[in-house]
Amino acid sequence: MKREILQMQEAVAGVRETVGLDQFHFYIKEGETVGLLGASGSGKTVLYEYLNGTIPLTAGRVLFEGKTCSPGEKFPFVESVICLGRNSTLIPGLSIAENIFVINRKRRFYEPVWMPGIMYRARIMLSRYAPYMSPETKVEQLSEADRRIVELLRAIENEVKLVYIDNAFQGFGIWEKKRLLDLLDVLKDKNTSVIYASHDAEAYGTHADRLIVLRRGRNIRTFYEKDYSEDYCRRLLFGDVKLPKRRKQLYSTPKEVIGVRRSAQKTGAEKEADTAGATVLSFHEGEVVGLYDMNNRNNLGLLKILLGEEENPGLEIRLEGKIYRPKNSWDAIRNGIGYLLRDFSDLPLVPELNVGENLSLPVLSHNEVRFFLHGKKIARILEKEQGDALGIPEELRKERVRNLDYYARISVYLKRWELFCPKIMLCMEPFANGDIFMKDIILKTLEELAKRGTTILIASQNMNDLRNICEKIYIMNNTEHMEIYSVMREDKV
Amino acid sequence: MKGNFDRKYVLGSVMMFLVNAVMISLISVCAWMDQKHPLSRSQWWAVTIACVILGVFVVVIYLENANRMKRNMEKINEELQRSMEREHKEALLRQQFQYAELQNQINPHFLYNTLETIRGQAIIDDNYQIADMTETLAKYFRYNISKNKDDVTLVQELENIRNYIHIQQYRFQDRFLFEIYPHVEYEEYARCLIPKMTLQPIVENAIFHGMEQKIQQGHIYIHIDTTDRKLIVRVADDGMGMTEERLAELNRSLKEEMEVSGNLQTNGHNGIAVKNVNNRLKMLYGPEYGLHISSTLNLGTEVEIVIPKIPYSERV
Repeated sequence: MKREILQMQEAVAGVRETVGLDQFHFYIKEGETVGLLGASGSGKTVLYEYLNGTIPLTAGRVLFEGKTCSPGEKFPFVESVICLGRNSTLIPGLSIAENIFVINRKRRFYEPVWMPGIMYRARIMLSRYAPYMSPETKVEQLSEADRRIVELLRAIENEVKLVYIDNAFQGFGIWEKKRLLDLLDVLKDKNTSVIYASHDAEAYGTHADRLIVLRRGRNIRTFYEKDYSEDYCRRLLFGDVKLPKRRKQLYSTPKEVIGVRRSAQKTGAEKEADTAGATVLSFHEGEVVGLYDMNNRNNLGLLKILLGEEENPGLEIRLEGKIYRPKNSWDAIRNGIGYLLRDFSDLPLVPELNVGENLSLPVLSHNEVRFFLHGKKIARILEKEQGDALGIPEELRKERVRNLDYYARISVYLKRWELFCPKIMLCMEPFANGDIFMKDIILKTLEELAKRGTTILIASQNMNDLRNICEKIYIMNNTEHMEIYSVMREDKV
Repeated sequence: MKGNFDRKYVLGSVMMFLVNAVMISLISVCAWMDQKHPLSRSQWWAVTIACVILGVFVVVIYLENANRMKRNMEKINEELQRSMEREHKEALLRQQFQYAELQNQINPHFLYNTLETIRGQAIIDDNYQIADMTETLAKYFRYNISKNKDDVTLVQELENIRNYIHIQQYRFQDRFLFEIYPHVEYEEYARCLIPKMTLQPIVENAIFHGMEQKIQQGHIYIHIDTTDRKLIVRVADDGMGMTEERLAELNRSLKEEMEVSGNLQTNGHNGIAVKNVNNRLKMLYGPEYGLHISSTLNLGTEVEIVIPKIPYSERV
């Protein structure tokens, strides 16, 4: 007989003026895995914030292990819950062992830290659950997926009762996801309950015992494996709204914008091997190219090199015929490179300004005099011109951006890139955290950019997302050296 | 009880008087000793202040205890009042239920015998469908009309639902499919007690409000789950659902307390509305139990019934 760990009755909670959870009913038993499925703004992240002890409960009743949490209070049992959000909670400068055993909720401040003991315990734990990791490795050297694994190991060590995962596994490769899901099974065997929030039902696979659909802060339906239907679920989430079917258009021209070659200075091994033709990547004006990698490593690596966040002396990159070696992302932007990251949770908009002001800011902000003289006029013009295109009603265009809904804010952010019109747009898993509405907004923007001649590079490990828009897809293998394994052209597909 | 409390106040006052008397005596003793063994001024003040502090301390503790007792008694009074009101309402609900039964009551033996006769004739005429329907109807009436007990096991209630669905599917043909999905072991849920006729009005609503207007084939599912303390039964359909306004109105009415007026509230089907089911469950088990409804227009409705997990053996 499984004990009930968490029960929420008519729970209401929110962030600032927005109500995230509204009459939310929920329960979870020990050892159970429950999936929470909802579009953006359905309340998943608000529930994360509440269980993380960040925001209080506004109304309703919450029971955790039989103990009541009253309205007005923040969740008082954070020691028994671990929340995994989009950003890691590990301390980058510390090692894996220190993050698991020293930064530990069970440990009291006065308890001495004996490093040899901690290293020993870490070695035993890692040999069992993650044998490829070393306890001395600093967290900053780990990949995102490995950091999540360390956080889950910390949950095992802390013997937490509940783990809440808020869209934390998006964009990981197949093997990385498998390792993470295996660890969730370990937690389940230890009777730890898991709440897995996502906008994508495929994220759960067969791991969830039941699936709850959320909309506007309320649970509207519970599914079990036997009565689950993907189409029905999608209709519950998004209603019967039919998004316009996008016909893939081709805007590429023969003009090469960026070319990637092996550097002329080959190492001894490379000279020996002398690959039959150096690897060449060639991207043209207005072309939309997909970079597919099952493990999301080499494709993202290439984009990071183009953005100046990583270096690879083995590659020679030419931008419009000239050698291109950006020092950092600012340098890349100055060279006409734009980028979209995976995480849209923290958009670089100024919340206190309205739509027009946010659109005009990047254009004018580098010249304070011009901004002072013309800023307001230009903001008004942009607001009028772009407001319709953004689908924002007139009465909301003068509102501060923080009062707009999530989709409107994303539209404003993407419109800014559209107005900037970069030569190359680097997209790092842009669809990973998006529901179908968000994907549609992003696709519309990328199509518009391609129409204006921007070269678009999209890195993803989801082939379906790439096929929606790309005219060419490079499939990259997972070795250290980047090679083109195959090319799928529009005509061959 | 009030008398007892007043007596305690008197006792308390006597105690305070005694304490003060002791203090004054102490002070007098000190004054007397002052003549034989004079105390210094500071010693004198120290003794006096100590006596005063002690006196105040005793008085404060006493008053605090007295207040706490008073608050506890007020709480007990309130609880008693609420409990009496709940019993009164429960009695009223039971009365309504019985009244509805009485209105529809037919001599059960006559009914069973007639149905058996119809069944027999149907078999003779090789009309096995009618025979089957008649047999199912007899079982349904046997369950619903019997005055034996208010609580039945979940298995019995589900068996009644199966009979009800079986009858309705003769009328609706294949317009909907019905499945029961338990998500715990049979022993966990089978002998849990549930008030009789809890599920049937909800399933009835799923058919008549959900399936009747639906063009394609619909589905009605009953999911059963338990925790260590609760029994959760979910009735879900993919029928017509309801508008948000109607849903909000329904959820609001479920939260309202039932009027203690004795008026029957019917929905025209069998005299027991969803609201009455909810009220009954809240009266019996408390405000944290009952129904929770969610619905999406054109996509379906889900009703979650939560009651405490009471095994049959505990009740006996």
